[in-house]
Amino acid sequence: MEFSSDMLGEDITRVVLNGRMDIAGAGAVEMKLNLAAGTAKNLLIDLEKVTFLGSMGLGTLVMPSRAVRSRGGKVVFFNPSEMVEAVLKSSGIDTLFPVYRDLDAAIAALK
Amino acid sequence: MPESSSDAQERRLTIPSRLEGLSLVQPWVEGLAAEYAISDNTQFAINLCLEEALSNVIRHGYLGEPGHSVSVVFTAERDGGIAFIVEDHAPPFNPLESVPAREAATPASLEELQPSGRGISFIRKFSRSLSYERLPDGNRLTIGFAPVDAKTAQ
Repeated sequence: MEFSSDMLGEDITRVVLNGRMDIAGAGAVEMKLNLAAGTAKNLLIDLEKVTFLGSMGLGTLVMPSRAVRSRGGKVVFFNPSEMVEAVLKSSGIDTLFPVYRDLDAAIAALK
Repeated sequence: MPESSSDAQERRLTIPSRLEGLSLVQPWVEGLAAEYAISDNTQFAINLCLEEALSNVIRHGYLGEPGHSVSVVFTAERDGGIAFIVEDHAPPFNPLESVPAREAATPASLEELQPSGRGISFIRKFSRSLSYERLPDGNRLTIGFAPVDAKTAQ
């Protein structure tokens, strides 16, 4: 599981996840995700290259997302695969943190 | 345990009662997928359900104690139906009767959003069929999935 992050403008932190968010993968990026979210004003979580998302992996996404929202920031998930999006929807997390497939729309939603 | 017959093919995976053992599942499922023409989406669902079911047995059934094992048996019928049978030797526990309200409901607010506890809910939603059987010395959870393409699988 790979993790990287950058800024989209001044107020949006983008984190890019690559690989399987199974129990092992979630554990590998959990601390980095929480660190990135700890200073993020708004958060875009890029899931395009995430090939698997399980319950533990989902939990690893929830914690930093809640942290940003609790500070008044916004969070979106970007471009998950069909099945990864199905996992997000089945948990209802997409009702709180929306999913976008267009980057410009995602950025606009975070402003 | 289903009877082996000329109409069914079985494969078995046994993992130790440690979460690290779950790393054996995905390559095993990948091998089955190649052999039985299981689609990518169904393979995803299988991995999702097995990760949930097995981690539940390891963490809650065996309370994280090493030295135990969980087996997964794959069965494929000639009509294309496939199933994964998870068997353990843990104390009696029927996961189908134990769905916390928080796991079943869509969160209405940030405060209701839990970071964990969705396992059995995921298994229900991503499988075709689900059944539980108490064994004399453990538990059996059978998780069924949509049939593979019969023409491709031959």
